[in-house]
Amino acid sequence: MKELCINAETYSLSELFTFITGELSEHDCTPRDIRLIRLCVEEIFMNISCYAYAPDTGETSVSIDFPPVKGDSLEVDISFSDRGKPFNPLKNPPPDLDASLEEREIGGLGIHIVLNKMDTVTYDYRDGKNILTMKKELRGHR
Amino acid sequence: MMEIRKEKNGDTALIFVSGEVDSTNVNEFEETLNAFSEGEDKVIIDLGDLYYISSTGLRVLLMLQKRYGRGDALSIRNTNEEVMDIFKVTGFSKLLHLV
Repeated sequence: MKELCINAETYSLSELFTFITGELSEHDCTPRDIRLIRLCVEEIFMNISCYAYAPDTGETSVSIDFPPVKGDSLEVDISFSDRGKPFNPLKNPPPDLDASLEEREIGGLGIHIVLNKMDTVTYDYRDGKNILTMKKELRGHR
Repeated sequence: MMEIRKEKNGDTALIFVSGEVDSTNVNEFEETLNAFSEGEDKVIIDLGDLYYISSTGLRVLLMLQKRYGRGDALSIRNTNEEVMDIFKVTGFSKLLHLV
């Protein structure tokens, strides 16, 4: 498992991208899979960046792990933890996908994308920390 | 990395977006799209070389589509498979005027 501790600010995103894409590349992930995982990482990180410590700032730890699985798959587990306000983003109301152009509200898309693209997403508040973990099995990897 | 350029074809403004739109460059994306579409009655955004867009970029497209309304005053073309997948997941494939 590898871990990166960064300020939960937009300017840290490039460093986070470098960390995540580097780890995925080392495990021979395809560019398409890397973009997909990176997208989900961006959405969760920006959520933390906007809400966890507002109006103050704080740190976030992001870890990535590749637990062994059978067959030709690669499992990617990514976990975010912060000491901000207890906040479960999974309880956010989902966007209204049937709303008209005029009615459609701008927001709530990030978590919706993550829930759709990752296999499992879990939230826990433990030891004063928000901990969000997401997992994805990349099939036909090898 | 992102690049945006504009061409005029008669009364239509063609805006080509390439690369990646994420939270690090979304302000530039929004400002440039707004500047390039300013005063234009008919706009086509070509996403043929866009291969990454996060929710923050989607919001910019949605706001622009809201500004132009339904119909073909604003169209989006050449969306690649990966970006189209995100449009579908978020319901944007029904909100944006895709051609």
